[in-house]
Amino acid sequence: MSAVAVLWSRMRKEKAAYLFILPSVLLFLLFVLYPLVRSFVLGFQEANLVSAKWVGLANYIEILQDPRFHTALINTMLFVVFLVPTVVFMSYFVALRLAPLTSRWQTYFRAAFYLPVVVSGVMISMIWLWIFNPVYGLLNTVVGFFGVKPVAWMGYRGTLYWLMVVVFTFNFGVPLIIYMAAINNIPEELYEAARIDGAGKRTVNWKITWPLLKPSTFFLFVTQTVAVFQTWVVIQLLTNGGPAHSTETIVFQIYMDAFWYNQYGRASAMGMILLVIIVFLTLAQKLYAGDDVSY
Amino acid sequence: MLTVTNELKQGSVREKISFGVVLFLVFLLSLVFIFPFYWMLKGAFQPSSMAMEVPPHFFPVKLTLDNFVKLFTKTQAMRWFLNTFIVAGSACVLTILIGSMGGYAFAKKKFPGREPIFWVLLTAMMLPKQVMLIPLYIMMNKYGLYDTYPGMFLPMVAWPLGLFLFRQFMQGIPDALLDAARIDGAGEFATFRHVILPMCTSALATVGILYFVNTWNDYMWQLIITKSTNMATLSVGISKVTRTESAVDYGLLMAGATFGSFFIGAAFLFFQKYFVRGITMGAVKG
Repeated sequence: MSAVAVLWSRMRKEKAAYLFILPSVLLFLLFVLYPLVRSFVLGFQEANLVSAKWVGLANYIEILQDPRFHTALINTMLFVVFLVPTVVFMSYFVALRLAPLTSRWQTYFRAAFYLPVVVSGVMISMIWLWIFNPVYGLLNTVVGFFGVKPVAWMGYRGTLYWLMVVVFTFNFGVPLIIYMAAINNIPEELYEAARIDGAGKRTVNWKITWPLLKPSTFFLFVTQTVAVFQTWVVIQLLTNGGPAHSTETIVFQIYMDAFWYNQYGRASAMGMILLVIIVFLTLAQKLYAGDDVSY
Repeated sequence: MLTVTNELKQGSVREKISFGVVLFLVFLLSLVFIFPFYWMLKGAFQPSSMAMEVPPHFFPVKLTLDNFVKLFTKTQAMRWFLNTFIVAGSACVLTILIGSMGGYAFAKKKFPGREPIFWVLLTAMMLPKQVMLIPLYIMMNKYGLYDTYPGMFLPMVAWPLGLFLFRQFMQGIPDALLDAARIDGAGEFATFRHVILPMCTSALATVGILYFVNTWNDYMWQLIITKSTNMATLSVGISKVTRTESAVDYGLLMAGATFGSFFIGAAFLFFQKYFVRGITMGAVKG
């Protein structure tokens, strides 16, 4: 029998398997893979809902020379640089502190830190919109106690960092829970052995717990980076990119270019730039973390 | 005395104090996370004129349901709730059906092409979803799915995360069970329905809740794919309350936010275990 015939007979033998994966694969081809390829093509076109014209690299050149995009790129990087390490390291230290608590207190903290993950970002953004309001907002009353004059929280140079505070509350719960579970999984004997050898609490944390949690830490760095890159709801609802485009991120500009200005080509090209950055960062983190972690 | 910790009964006084101080700081941090919800409830149940008070009362002084009456009479909040429920429910049920079938084949069947197909699915999953939105939008317009339920939930179902999680779970099922079923003469689908699925109930619940919550809380795609107020979901509808009125009615807005987060919040308290398991496996908040 030829190789083709062997393959064919094996495929026929497993025809049930193909039926099982058929719905998933069809949906995937239609609603994930095709859009992905089409987006790549659109990046080289000037397109709207009804027409498309080939323009080569014009979209990419225009984007890379646009100061608005530079701002978005810097803002996105600031989000990643400030938020990802803060979220990961703080969740680690909080998880360490929560580990010895009784289960009732653990339940309280878990629920408290997790609630903003579960509830729609839109609803929470609405509440912050009110808290940040320059006239009726609570925050200005609070800082007023300390003699600070009312601040337009969503309309000055520091606005980006206040957005980060809100995003922080969205992103903190998941790493915390993952670390809490991972710490619970470390065998008690390791700690006992360390204690017998006279290791202090600090030594135990740095020499035992932290190295053992390296796979979790790597996983969290990768997923948090992707998550922070995709920050959008908060910006859309709290500042809408303002004041004067100063809080726009890449994802925000993709949305605006596509669904506000109807520049599908430009938005798709920007999407491809985003994709390249994310893939590059993921691979870089993987290289840095070495071969001993997998996810 | 209040017992906070199981350990540390013997530690030194200095250790106890530093532990207590740090724990107190963690407690303060947790308040930053919960406080907005308190403020939301306070704003929702007090007269909306009081939302404009400067300085605001920290504790509620007068309770009323006026904001909710306004929410249900002046906006289509009930309709939005129904829409959200239909879309999230469809995404959840379809993913359980389709994803479990696919996950089973990838976990337990050896068929030519398995590895490359799976590799493509897995790689695509790591890419940012925003990249696909424009072609999806064009496509939905072309095939009449714009502003419809299927247009809202189909891209959610197509995301292969569910399949991936099912595969991972089903790899743990011993092959001997499948062989036994085959020897007993059970067909492929009978094996899947009567042997595999009953063993996966916790995975079904986890993935189902994950997809329900993710779809329920989705905002960007729903904002893009819906147009009429009739088809809006809770997120889209309530976020538009701020955009349509010149002066924002924070009382109404807080009632909307309360209504919009109540269902998932309550479900979280009841099914905490599945929520935590599901969302830690694959949540990325847009």
